[in-house]
Amino acid sequence: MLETYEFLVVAMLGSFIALIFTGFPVAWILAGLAVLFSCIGVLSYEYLDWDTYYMTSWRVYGTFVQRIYAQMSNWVMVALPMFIFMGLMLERSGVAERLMVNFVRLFGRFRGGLGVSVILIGILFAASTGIVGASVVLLAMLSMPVMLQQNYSKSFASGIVASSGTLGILIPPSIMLIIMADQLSLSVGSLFMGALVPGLMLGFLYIAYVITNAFVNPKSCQLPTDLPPVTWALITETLLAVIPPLGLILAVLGSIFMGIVSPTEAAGVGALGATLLAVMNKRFSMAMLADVCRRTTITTAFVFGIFLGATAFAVVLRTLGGDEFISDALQSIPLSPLGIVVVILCITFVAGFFLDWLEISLILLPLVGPVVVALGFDLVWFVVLFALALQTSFLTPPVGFSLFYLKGVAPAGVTTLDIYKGVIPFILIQLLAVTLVLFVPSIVLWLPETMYGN
Amino acid sequence: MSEHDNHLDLKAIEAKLADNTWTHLPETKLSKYIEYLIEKIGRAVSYIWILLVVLVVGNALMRYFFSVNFIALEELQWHLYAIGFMVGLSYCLIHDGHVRVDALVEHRNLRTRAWIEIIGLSLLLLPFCAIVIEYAIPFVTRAYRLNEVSSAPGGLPMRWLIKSTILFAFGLLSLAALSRWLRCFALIRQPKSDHEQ
Repeated sequence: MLETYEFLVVAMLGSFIALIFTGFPVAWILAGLAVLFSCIGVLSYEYLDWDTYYMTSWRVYGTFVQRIYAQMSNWVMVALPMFIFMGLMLERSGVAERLMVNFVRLFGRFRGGLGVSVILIGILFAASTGIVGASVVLLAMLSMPVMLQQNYSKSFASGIVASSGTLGILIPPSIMLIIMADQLSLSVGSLFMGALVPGLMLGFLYIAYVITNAFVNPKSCQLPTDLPPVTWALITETLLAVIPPLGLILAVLGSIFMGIVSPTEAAGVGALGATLLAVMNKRFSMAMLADVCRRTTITTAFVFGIFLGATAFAVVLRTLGGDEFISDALQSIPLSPLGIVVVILCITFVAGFFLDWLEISLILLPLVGPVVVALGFDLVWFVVLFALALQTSFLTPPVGFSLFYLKGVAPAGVTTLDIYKGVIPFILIQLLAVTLVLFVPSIVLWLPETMYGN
Repeated sequence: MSEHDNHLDLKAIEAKLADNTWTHLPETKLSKYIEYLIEKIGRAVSYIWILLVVLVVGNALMRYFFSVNFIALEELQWHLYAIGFMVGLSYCLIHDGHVRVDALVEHRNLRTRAWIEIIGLSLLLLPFCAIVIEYAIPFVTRAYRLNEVSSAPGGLPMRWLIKSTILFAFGLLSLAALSRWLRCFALIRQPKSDHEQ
């Protein structure tokens, strides 16, 4: 039988799940439920004599304000608006277009070359934004028309775009990893390093699949016949297109990894670098700068709106004994520790159908993190698995986020079924990656351990 | 290859992704004033990110090349960031930027969604704003009375000032919510034929 406070915890989580489907902003649902359930908790303690765990006084509301202030003075989080600024600036800098044009001319002549180019651009760009919708949309607008023009099958092209756009949340410097590190008090640097090898591994697996498919099934990606011959000029131009963005990403990541600068400073340098790239490509103007600033405000505000809501929600849930309740429930699952981790990953996978990584990292991750530590696992390893599970979830029909975004911007004639068919091989690759990381933790842990020592 | 226009048309992307549900919300006199005010403040505050980029890079360079640290300037970084995202909350609201899970209600008519919005604003967002403001007032006045300063040597003075950002931001957020409430209410009061297909 549930204790009264456990009943309140279940009611609170249940109301959250029910209310998100009303379409009201998630941030305010979380915040409002925090207010409401504190009220119910304190009143039922005072008047009904319920056991409400530690929810016994109105002082909990004072904690909301303290948590908001803690968020304001959280220096690590200054990196977030800087990375958002950098991503928006890169999107408008013309770098992606230049890369696409040159990659098509150079690699378009090989079987599957165009697909591989899209994946490479995805890896480069995704690294800068880390927002699923943004990178899928960017890649789709950029590459779908070209691929279809070159007679790639619709489903093959869709699969490539959806999966390489989603890869971005995993490849550092992704803002998702920064938030996850903050939630679990991990170092951003070691989490970035932990995610690097699995992220690149996925990239290579995608590329391997695209090339294999191109040879096994040449109909899905025919070769163009009207490409200019390869000249040194073309190669130089391609290099000139690749080096600036690649250099920027490497500089940002490298300086974090070497410990020269903090993630916040690296983000600042990245934002400045992206602005310089826009200037170099003659895309920069004051109006464009103002637009990037305005959008940075909106994106940052929606991220932090959910932050504030989720923190208030988490405070109330904890005061009602929710953490212990969840932890006990998970640990009482009659499975091996690894089995419990798999159960958590499955929950994450399902949650990813309805919620974006942001809400999941802020609500679910802090609840399950301590359980995983208690089971004796490494948190960096677990976070990477968690991220892989989310990524898989965003790709899975019929409700994956990436597929929705892709459908929204794909050229006319690309059906939902094309997209579903196209992502299946990539989902299998994702599952392979999850399995590999699950059983071979050193894929994640090798790099941070080598770089930082144990 | 044949010429393909490779210029990313950001306007087209936006138009394709935009949620058009709320563009038909009628305005009221008061909501116009409120949104005008928030638009002005939001745009002005947005320039804070340029300042922040310059400050972050500048501080990093000074530390790296001249090995000097200005605690005050480092604290200024999170002060700017805090003002940016806190004031941004209201700006984001009037531009409908806060994330919704609208898969189930996308095709409901606007009237139903306006009702949900009114109930949500009244029972969830506005109570939260009220609670935060009520409990932030003693939080700020306490810092003012004690003349609280940064605990770091050489840090910024007048902690109450940055703490009062909470009041300012949540004041604006309440206003933004009020404007939204009024607009949804105006829609519900409209005769049915005006906006429904």
